Amino acid sequence: MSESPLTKSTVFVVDDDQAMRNSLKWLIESVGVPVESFASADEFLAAYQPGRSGCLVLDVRMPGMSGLDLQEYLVEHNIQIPAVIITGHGDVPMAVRAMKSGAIDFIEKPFNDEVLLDAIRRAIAYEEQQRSHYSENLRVQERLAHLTPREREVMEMVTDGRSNKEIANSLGVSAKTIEAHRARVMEKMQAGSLAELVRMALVANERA
Amino acid sequence: MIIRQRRHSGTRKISKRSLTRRLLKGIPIPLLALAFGLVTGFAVWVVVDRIQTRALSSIFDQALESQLDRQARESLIRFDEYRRSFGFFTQLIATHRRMADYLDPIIWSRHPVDIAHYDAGNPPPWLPRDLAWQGGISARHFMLVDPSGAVRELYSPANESLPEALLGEPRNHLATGQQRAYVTLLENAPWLIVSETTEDNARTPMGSVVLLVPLDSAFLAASQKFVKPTNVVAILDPDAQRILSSSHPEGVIPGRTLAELRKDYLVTAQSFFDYDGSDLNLLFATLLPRGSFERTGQQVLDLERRQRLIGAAVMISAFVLLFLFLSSRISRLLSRVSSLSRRALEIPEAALDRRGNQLIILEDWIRDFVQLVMRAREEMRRQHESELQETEKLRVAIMDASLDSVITVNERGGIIDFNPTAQKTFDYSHEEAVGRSFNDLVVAPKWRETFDRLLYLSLVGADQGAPLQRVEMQAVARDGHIFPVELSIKPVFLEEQLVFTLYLRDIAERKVREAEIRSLAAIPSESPIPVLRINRRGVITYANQPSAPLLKHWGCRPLQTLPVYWRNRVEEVLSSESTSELEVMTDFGVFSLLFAPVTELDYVNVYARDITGERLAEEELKRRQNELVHVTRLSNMGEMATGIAHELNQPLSAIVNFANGCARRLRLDMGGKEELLHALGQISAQAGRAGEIIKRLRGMVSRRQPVREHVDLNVLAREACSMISHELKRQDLAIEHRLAQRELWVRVDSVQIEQVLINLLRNALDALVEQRAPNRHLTIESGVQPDGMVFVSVKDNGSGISRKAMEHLFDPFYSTKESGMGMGLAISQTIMSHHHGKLRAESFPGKGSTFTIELPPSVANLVSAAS
Repeated sequence: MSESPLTKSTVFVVDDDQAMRNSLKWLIESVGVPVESFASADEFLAAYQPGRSGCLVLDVRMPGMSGLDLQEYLVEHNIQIPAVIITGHGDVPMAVRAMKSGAIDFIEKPFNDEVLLDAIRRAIAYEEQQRSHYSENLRVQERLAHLTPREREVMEMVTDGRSNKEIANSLGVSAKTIEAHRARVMEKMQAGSLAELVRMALVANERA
Repeated sequence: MIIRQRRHSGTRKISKRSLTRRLLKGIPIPLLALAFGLVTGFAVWVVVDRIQTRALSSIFDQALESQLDRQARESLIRFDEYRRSFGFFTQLIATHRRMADYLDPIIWSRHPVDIAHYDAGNPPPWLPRDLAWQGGISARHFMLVDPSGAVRELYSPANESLPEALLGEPRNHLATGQQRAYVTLLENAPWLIVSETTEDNARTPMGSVVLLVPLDSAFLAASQKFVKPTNVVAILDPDAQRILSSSHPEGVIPGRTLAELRKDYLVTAQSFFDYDGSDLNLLFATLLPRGSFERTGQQVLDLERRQRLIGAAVMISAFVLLFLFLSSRISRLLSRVSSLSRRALEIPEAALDRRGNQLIILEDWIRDFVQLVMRAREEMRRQHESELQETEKLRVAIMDASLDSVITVNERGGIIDFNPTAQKTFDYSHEEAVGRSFNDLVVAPKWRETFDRLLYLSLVGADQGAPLQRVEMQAVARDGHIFPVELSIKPVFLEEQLVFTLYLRDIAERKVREAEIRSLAAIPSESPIPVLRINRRGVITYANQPSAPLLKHWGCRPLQTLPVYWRNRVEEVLSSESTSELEVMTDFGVFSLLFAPVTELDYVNVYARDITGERLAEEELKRRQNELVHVTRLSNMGEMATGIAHELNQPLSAIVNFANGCARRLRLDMGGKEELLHALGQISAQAGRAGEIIKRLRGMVSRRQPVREHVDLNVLAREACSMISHELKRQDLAIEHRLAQRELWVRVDSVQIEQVLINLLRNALDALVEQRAPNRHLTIESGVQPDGMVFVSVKDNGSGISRKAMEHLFDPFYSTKESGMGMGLAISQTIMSHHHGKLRAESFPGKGSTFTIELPPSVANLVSAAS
């Protein structure tokens, strides 16, 4: 059982039934994942800070905002947190609706513990992946911001695979000058090698 | 009329006097007294002054006269004394040794010889040298005369010549030795001549020494030397009424007549002592100046007047003070009297004006008061008369209006008065009846003797103050009809005679009614249902034949006391004063007892009814209804099965999760013992919860006898809500709870009441199906109504119920739903009425409906409210 990726994430349980909430917390905590439980969707929204890593375990039937409503609300507001839906008695339309909104899994009560835990694991892994990608992007963007427009130009040309001379010609400056620019770009972007700089440029472009 | 005339004459008299009265009335008594005192004082003053002045001056004159007299005498005595001193002086000269020595050798010749003259420078040797000690006494001439009376020697200290008259006829005066001293008139001037015989050493008479002293003013003044100079003495010539000489020649000039002097002086004239022998008629006058006396008199008078004035002033002020005091007393008296009179006669008169002359005001007031009293007395008399008349009228009216025949007879039984009722009853007019014998006219023949006796007996009774006795006897009318009457006799002792007032009442009708009442009284005994009468102490005073089973049940007979429980009920009914119905189960059947209190007579009438049959029918109905309730409940349960299944799913899922969590922890050897124990506890709690749900389900399904228990209506409402919680979730609806804070205790079958509430909640949910999600409201509310009933209401904002549907709302088998049996509300209503409660429905088409159940509060409710 690989438990390493689960360590820093939290599972947010939202269920109106207190016994259900407590039992879920008890079960999920048995695999070493911290759990925070909420009695309603509103309570969760009030307490949740975007950016926290983890996943949601949602009951469908709740007074006020239902589990599915909450899921849709989060998608609408671009809050990317994967959800596992559980329900007393599910039907196909309900399951379809959940999956469409990007649910990791749709589980019917009473459920096998492994099924639920597996779904949670998958959700967290997905979230981790999403999160690391996102943070790399952020880092590159931040470094790019430090470049002067000329340095940026130089960087683009370098990552395009053009030689120093070619760049000097096209920009109408000496190769020596380009050399200096290139060295500063490498320094500012904290790139160890040209290959690394190229990957950064790719990440940055993906974002753009 | 007489009174009015008198009053008129009185006012006329007043008007006559009124001017002076009004004048006097304005002046207060002290002022009046002051004025009166002043006027009287002045008048008395005038008279007294006149009289007193006269009296005083006469007294004064008398005193003056006597004083004058005395003074005159005194001055004469003084004059005489002075004169006598000259005698002694002469004697001294005559008997002096020098004289004797001088005369010793001399022998007077018989022939006349010249007179030897001596003067101041050459004094005679016979005169003692030391004459100076003689003071002011000095003679004008000293003469030595021989026994024949011839002057031998003459000494004139002032060198004056001897008066001629003396020389002319000296012997007359000088020869005799008898006249030692005398006054004589020489040359129109009075002189004192003093002589003394003289001898020589051999005692030979040698003649005499003669001194001539002019009685001039110096002499007179010297004689009066030690007296006030105002007293003037003078020598008077009575024939000429002239002054010859005076001690005060400036005032009383010699030569003036007495008449002239009398103007200024008071004059007293006396003859000299011892000079009567003289042929001269001279008088010694004492003059007192008038001025000094009159001044003194005036002073005395003035003093007198002043004192009188002071005396008068003191008198007047004392007088005024006295009146001031008196008037103040009168004023106080007036005020007291006026207030007293006002109070006594109840005259709403303004306070008396007490300024001015109090006596007159008092007099006026007394007159007015007497008039008022007279008027009041007249008023009273009139009132008394009118009262008398009214009393008489009243009496006549009472007599006339009396429903009884009132007949007054005299002591022999003759009719005096015959009132209209009597006239109508016996058909005799007043005129016909009066004067006839009561006994003959009215009393039935059989009763006449009795009546006479009654009349006599009434007298005996009246003496002892016995109350009026009612006697039944028979009377006869004009047409011979005999009828029963009730008679009472009241003897009246008037001043001169004895009369009897007889009250007769026709009681024929009453007799008939009494008979009716007697027959009516037999009703309860004829009644086929049990009727009893019980007094306050619980004694059965009457019980009819059909009440035998009840008496048997209680184990008592008429006139015996009821068992304690029923005695208490009787007591309660009597004190509450309202009828009450109770049931009693006997071996002979069930009876309903209606207790009707008759408070004024302090007993209870009990009407019993055999209700055994009714009771049996009711029991049967109840049983059937219960069955129906159960069936309906079962059908409801069927409809709710899915929901209940979900309900059960929750605890079961929780149990699975807890169990799996525990297993994982144990497998990984993680988690503390405490933690695991807690989770296990949770498992057991959830299992319990699942068990509760199943138990409730069984309760709803099982068929059992209804039981009553004390429950909080709020608890039932909450449980009902939880029973349908699944259906709520499915509709995504939350019930709004507005349950009362305090507990609402009721004594009910909780399963049945929950059934009603579930029914109402499910109806509400059905009503809300068509409504859009966010606008759906389902409210459950509980509380206490103003009338004391506790209630739970279920309110939805669905489409409401149509008017037509409302009419059949509680009919069995009426339903607006496709799947409904139409028994829900009908059964609910039956359940509520079994609980002495109510089920109400209100609906507003388009807005929603409210269903309310009402239940009577249990005693526990009151206890909890009190605590």
